[in-house]
Amino acid sequence: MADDIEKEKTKDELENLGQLVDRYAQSRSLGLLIPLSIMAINALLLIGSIELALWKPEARWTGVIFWSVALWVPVSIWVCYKLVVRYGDRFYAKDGKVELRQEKTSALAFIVFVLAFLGATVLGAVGVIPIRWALTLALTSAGLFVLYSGKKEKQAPLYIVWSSLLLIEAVVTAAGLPTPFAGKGYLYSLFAVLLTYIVGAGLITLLVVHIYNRKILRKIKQTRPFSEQQ
Amino acid sequence: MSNNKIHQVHNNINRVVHEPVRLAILKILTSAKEVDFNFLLTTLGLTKGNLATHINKLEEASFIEVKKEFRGKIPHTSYRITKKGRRQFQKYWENMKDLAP
Repeated sequence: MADDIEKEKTKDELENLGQLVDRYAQSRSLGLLIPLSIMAINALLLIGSIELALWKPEARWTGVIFWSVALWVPVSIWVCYKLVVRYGDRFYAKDGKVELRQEKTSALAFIVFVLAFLGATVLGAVGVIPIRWALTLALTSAGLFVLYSGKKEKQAPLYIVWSSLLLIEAVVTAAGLPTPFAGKGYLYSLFAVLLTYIVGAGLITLLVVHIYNRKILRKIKQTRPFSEQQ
Repeated sequence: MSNNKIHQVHNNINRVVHEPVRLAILKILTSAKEVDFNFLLTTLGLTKGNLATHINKLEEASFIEVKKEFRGKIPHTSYRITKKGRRQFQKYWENMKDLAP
């Protein structure tokens, strides 16, 4: 009888440890700093180069800068991917490395997202649909894509928080809440707002999920079943 | 359960798996695809020497595979559970279930 109780206790402790490890590994959020930084830098570069091109349309160098930035933006997606793979885990070097079994986000889903996102922003920029609806559609497509990616890539807490914030922003925008930079041309009222919302939601997510991650780690340290270092 | 059956189940229990720390290591490795030495230290709270001993036993039994590499000049060791290790871990709990009254 005592053996059975001990056996059940050990099994429960191990199950608990397995779940905590899974939740801990899924909530490592600091790697998100890399794509968020690249997104913010790209937004500044794009806005800056467009402003330059509009300011001195006749100067050849403004054109060179603009096209260099335009070429850099798609390349930066690849650079970002490589940086995340190489350095994403370095933020948690002290805790050690843990890699979960994950599926890759399908290329088709990524293409659908890019088309929906770019479609909405282009339609908004050329005035086919109001900027408010362009923002709503772009934020909704980003929110849904992030949610889908999180499920596939085993980053549920991170992507659920981020996608929820993006979808809330989409609903709030659709409801007609005034957006920053409104009435300053599509470059600011659409593009800058979109990037601010996405990066802002990402930063909040990073912080919230990181706090959750530390809480889980503390729990692991408190409950580690066969510890010698307590 | 007859004494014979209990005896048989006891004999079937894998002695390498039947140790709390090794069970915990295998549980972590079944939850993850790959972990490193540091992560096992963080989650299990063992001393380096003790953890290394348990890992060696699991490696000798081919329940885990060890990947050694260099990150710059620093050696880095990662572990994965093998198919054999996964099978033995499952079998262990099935045997334990059979021992239940």
